[in-house]
Amino acid sequence: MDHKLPDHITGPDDLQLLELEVNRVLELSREQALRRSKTAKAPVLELSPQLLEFLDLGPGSAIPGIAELEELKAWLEQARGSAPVVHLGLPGMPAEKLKTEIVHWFRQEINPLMLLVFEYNRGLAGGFVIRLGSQIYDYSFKHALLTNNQAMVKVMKNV
Amino acid sequence: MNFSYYIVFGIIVILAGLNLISLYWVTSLQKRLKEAATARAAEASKNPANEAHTVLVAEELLRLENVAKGDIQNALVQVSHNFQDDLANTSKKINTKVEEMADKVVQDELTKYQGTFDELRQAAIETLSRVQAAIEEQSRKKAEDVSVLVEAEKKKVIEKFEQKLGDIVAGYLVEVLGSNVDLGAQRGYLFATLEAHKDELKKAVIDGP
Repeated sequence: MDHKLPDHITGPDDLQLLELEVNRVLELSREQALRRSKTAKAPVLELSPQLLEFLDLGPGSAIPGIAELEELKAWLEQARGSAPVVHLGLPGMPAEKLKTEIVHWFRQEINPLMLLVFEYNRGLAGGFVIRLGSQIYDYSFKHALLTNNQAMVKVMKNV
Repeated sequence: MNFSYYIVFGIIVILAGLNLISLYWVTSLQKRLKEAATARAAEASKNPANEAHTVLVAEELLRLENVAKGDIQNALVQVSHNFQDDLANTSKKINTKVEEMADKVVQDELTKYQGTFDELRQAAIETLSRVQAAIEEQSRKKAEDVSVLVEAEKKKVIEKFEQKLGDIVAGYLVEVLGSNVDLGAQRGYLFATLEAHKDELKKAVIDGP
């Protein structure tokens, strides 16, 4: 089954939470299956909106079967191990909408499994910094100002 | 110079030799005259008849002896005079010759000295020229080095100043902008920059950390 990470699952923490929930649901489903065979009382399963969106299910939809959940768990484990993680430094914390837009862009243009960690850095003044493993791509205003200080001096001389 | 002494000494020896020969000749001449007179006297004594004649012969002998003595004295005086003249002439010539030789030797020595002096002077001038050239070269290099150092230092100071100035201005802008960041307003810049560096980012993801 082909899965796709929803845009609100941004970073490794979100993915791990999803994985934990899938595990929990899987365990409960197994327990439910076991109880159904012995007693009539079974635990009630409630899925989070994130998991519902991930599974592309509406509220009140039937919970996937144990096999499907196991397959989902394996996929999530594999995604967690192989998904590239990008740290995005911004001068302020972005709104949820902007965050999902950025995640969407990365998954659309760079890698569909891309995970983003948003970091707050007031000193950037503007723009952003991307850290990918040991590589850093600094597109901040601060960096631009400091690296182009000659241009600034030139401008000041002309004033 | 030693050679002239040898010449003078040789001439003196030769003159002394000539003098000795003259004396020997005079002495031997006197001896022969005396022997001749004695022989004649002996011959006269062998003939008593001629006693008167013998007395005469004795007088003659005495006269002859006196004459011979006078001649000998004259000859000795003459020889002495001649010798003195010769000696004076020779001495004069020797002096002249010695002076000439001394002049020549002094002239030669002076010429040699002059030549040596010229060579030394030339060598000194060349050495001095080389030293001067080396000093000039050294000075030029030092001046260049100093000029380069001054230029580098100047550049460094200017760069430092501009860096500081840039830092101050950038710091000011960061301080001012940092507290008034509107990420919504930067949305366009953010996505435009991401688009502009899309390939770079994609490559970085593929290559791995």
